[in-house]
Amino acid sequence: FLFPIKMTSPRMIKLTSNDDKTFEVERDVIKQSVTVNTLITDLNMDDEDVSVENQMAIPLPNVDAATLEMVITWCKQHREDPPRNEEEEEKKEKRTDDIPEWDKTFLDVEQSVLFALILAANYMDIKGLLDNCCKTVANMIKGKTPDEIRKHFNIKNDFTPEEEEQIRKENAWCED
Amino acid sequence: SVQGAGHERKPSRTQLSVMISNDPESMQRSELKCEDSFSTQCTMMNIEFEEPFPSMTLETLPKENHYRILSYLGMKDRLNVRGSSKTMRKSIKESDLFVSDACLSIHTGGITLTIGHIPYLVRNMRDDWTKQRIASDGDCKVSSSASVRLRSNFNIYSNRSVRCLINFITSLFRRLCVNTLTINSHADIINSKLLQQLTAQFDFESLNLRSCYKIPLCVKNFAILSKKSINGFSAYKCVKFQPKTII
Repeated sequence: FLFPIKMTSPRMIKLTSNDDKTFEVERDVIKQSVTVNTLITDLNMDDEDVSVENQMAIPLPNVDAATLEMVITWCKQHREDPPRNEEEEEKKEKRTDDIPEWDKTFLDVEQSVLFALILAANYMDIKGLLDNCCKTVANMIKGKTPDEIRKHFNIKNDFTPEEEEQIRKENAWCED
Repeated sequence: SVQGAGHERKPSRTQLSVMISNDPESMQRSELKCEDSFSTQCTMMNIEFEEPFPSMTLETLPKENHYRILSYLGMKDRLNVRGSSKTMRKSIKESDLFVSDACLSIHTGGITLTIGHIPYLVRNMRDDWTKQRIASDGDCKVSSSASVRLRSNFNIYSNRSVRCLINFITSLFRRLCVNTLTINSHADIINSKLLQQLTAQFDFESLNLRSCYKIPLCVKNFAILSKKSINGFSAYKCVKFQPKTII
């Protein structure tokens, strides 16, 4: 006997960026966002009776479409990651040399894009993405003098020479 | 004079005029004219791109993100970021420099003792007190503003030296909120008295013992939570053993 097998398609969630673009993303993928996850639960959006067509899109007023697309790509890549234990993560040694190769390539973007990703990851509460973005920025800072940091991040030096000298004296204790 | 070099492009037409003259004075200059409907409306200098949201920079990141980035940096890098502009200095408070550094690190290479970022706190908070304290303890001295060093005759096996070290550290501990003790380099050869006394006197939640050759000394009420191998040495993380309450 052959029984018809009901093929269940993955549950989809709609997300709308601040520039009004709507993305459909698998529920299983976006679960990495604590913010979205909480909203889905609170709004009973996991209710199977609601089709994706009738489903309300979750607005993300702090994230633009280009950034949201990147966030979704990151979440898809990391969908199989084990759930994070934040307490354990906090206790871990703070390292920046453990960014996975895929993330290194993915985060090799213009600074404005990287910072937008940090904001989005922070807002959407995706700790893994936020950590790797911040580690990438930290790696850009490491070993640079204040002047090199200014050049790298296009920061205007608004100190007077006297103020700069004062800061140099203040920080002298940390020089080798 | 050569004129022409017309160049078609959509949706507007650009005419390029190049003027070349035999006059030596005007040889220095060449004129490039760009005439089309696009360039008459705007020039490269005056184009204003309207962005719906301003692009982010390191300076405009919220404070909480600065804090997270700092947590991955050493003290010198943190100071350099903070010292890069007034905006960064305003965003990163002095106290933020000590994120994830609520610990005291002791590096014992036999002769040198560097106590984390304590000298910075010392300089800012209790300079006179600490200097006097160190001076009175004899074996320790502030050799530079950057680190607290022990005299070269400091001997980790000597009771007097260890007693001096314990006195010094405990005096500091009383004035600072330290809940984690980190010992780098040869933690297993640190006199057991030091660990025993420190853990007995202070309510540490955890101990990080790094660069050990062998299993660290058993410290009362602490259990080894994890062991990692770093550069051929072992690093142990110990947490306070919490006996379960039996009702």
